[in-house]
Amino acid sequence: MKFGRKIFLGLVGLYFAIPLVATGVFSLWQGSNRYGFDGYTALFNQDELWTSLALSFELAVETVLASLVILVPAIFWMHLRLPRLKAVFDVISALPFVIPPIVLVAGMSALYTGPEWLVSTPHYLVIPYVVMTLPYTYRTLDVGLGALDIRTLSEAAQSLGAGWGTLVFRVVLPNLTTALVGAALLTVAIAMGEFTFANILLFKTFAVFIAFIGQSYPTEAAALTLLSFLITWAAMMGVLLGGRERAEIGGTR
Amino acid sequence: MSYLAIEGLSKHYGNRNILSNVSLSIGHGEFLSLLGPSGCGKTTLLRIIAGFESPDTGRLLLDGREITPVSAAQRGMGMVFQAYSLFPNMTALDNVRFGLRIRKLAAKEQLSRARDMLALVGLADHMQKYPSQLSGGQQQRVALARALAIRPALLLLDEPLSALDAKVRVQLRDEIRNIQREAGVATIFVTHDQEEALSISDRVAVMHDGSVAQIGSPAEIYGTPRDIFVARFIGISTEFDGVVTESNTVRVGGVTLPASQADGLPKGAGVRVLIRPENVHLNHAGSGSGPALAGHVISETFFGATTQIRIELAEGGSLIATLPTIEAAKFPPATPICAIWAPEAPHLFLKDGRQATSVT
Repeated sequence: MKFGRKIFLGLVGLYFAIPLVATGVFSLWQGSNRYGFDGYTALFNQDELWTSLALSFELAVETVLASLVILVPAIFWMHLRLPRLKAVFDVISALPFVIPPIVLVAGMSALYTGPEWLVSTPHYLVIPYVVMTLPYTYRTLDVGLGALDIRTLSEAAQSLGAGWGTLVFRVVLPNLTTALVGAALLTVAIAMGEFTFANILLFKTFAVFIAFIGQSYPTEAAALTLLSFLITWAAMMGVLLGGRERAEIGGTR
Repeated sequence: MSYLAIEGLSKHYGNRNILSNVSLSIGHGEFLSLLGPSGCGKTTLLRIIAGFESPDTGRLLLDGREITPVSAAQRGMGMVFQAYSLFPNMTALDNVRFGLRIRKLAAKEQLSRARDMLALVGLADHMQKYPSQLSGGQQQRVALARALAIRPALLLLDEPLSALDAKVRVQLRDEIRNIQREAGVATIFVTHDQEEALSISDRVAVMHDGSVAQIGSPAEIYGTPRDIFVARFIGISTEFDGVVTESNTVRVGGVTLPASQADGLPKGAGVRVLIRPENVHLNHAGSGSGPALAGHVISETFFGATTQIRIELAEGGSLIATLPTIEAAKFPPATPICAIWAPEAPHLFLKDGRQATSVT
C-alpha cells in the first residue's frame, strides 16, 4: 500500500516537474548544442520587463487594498448582523467563476465610462481584478471571520466599553492576520498573472509582456515563464507558511 | 432599596412575544438567577439589561438613573458569556487589562488590578497564556476576572458554565458565588439548570413564556411553588388527579388523604395533587393505620446517601419516594407497601394551574 502511494506521488511529481525542467533546459538553450544564460541576460536587459513587472505589482497591491477595504467590513457585518445573507454572499462571490473574462470586460467597459483619470490608465484594471479575485478573497476572509465567533467577541468588547474602532483594530483585525495575509497573497498571485483583461484593454502588464516575448523570443519566454512561476510560488508559500506559523502559535481556539 | 429596577419590559420578534411586561428588581450585592426552560426569554432579558437589545416597551433604572437608552459600551456592566469569549490574540493578562485600557487607567494600575483579578480567580500562574492554551474552565475564569476588573455596576452571567464538564461546573459555580460575595457586586445569572440556580442564588426568578412565573428565595421557589409550571419545573414530583372531599382532605383514586391546602376549597372541586418524593413516607403493607395509598416497589435507583424508590400503585399509576439509603433497604423490589404523607406536604393546583392556597 505504502509502495503504491510512493509510485503515485512519484508520478504526480514527474507530471509537474518534467515541464518545468524542460522549460528550464530550453531557457538555457543557445542553438545547436550550446547552453548558457544568454536568454536570461537578454531578458533582464529589456526595460519592458521591469516596467511591466512594476506595473503588475502596483496593480496587484492596489487590488489587494481595494479588495480588503471593500470585503473586510462587508463580511464582518454579514457575520455580525446579517448571517442570513451568507447564502447571497456565497453566490455573488462565485459569479466570477461562471462569467467568462471576455464577457466581464465587455460589460465593465460599457458600465465604467469615467472618470477619465481612471478609465484611461492601467489602474482601471483594478476594477476587474477585484471582481476576478473575489472568489478567493471572499472565501479566505469568510473562513477567517467564521472561525472567530465574531458576535460574542464584539459583545464582550462592547460590554468592556470598547467602541467600534477599538473593536475592529484591537480585536477583529489582529485575529484575522492569517486570513488577511492569505487573501492578499492569493490576490497578488492572480493579479500578477492576469492576461485577458490587460490584453483586451491594451495595457502592457507582466502577463501581456510574457505573451509578447513568447511570440518573439522563445528562450527568453521560457526564462520568463520560470520567473513568473517563482513569483506565484513565493506567494503561495507565503500563504502556507503564514497558516502554519499561526497554527503553531495556537490559532483561535 | 432596589439597585436595578426593571419596569414593564416587553419585547417581540415578528409575531413572537419574547418578553411580556416583565418587572423585577435586584438589590445591592444580590445574586439573582433567571431560571427557565429554553425559549422562556431569560437570555433576551439579560441581553436587554446588558444593552445588546432594546425593549419595545418598559425601562431599566440603575441606582435610580434610567439606562434604557444607554449603549452597551457605556453601561459599565461586566458580562461572562456562554461561549468562550476571550480575545484569542491576547494573553490572559491582556484580556483582563482590556477594559482597563479603554478606561485609560495608568499602566501600573492596569497591571496590578489585572493581576489581582487573575489571582482572585486562581490563575496567577497562567497570566501569560493565550486562550488556546487554557482549558474551558480556565477560560471562563479569565472571562470572569475580565468582567470584574472594570468594577462593573452589575455582573451579568449568561449560562457561563454550560459548556463545562460536570465536575468543573460545580467547582466553578461555588467559586463564582464566593468571588461575587467578596466583590459585593450585584449579579444576574441566567441558567436553565435548576440545581445551579437553587444552590448559589439569593433569589431565583423562574421564567415561563416571557414572564416571571415566580420570584423568591430558593427555598420559597422549591417549597411553595406559586403555580403548576413552577412546581413541575423545579424538582421532581408525582402528580395525581384529585377531588376535594372535606376541608383538609382530598380523594386520590379511592383513597382519601390529608391535604391542608384543600382548606377553603369547595367540596367536589377537581385539583391536581403534586407530592415531592422526599415527602412520601413508606410503611410495609398492613403495618400502618389510617388511609394510605397501597402498592408495591417496582424499582430502586441508588444515589449514594439517598435511594429513589418507584412504586406501582394498586389504584393504577406510579409514585416516587426518596428515602435515606439505610431506610430504603427495608423496601426491596416487590415489597408490598402503603404510602402516606403529612397534611402540609402535597401541593394542590386548580385546573388553571394556580396554587390552591393562592385563591382561598
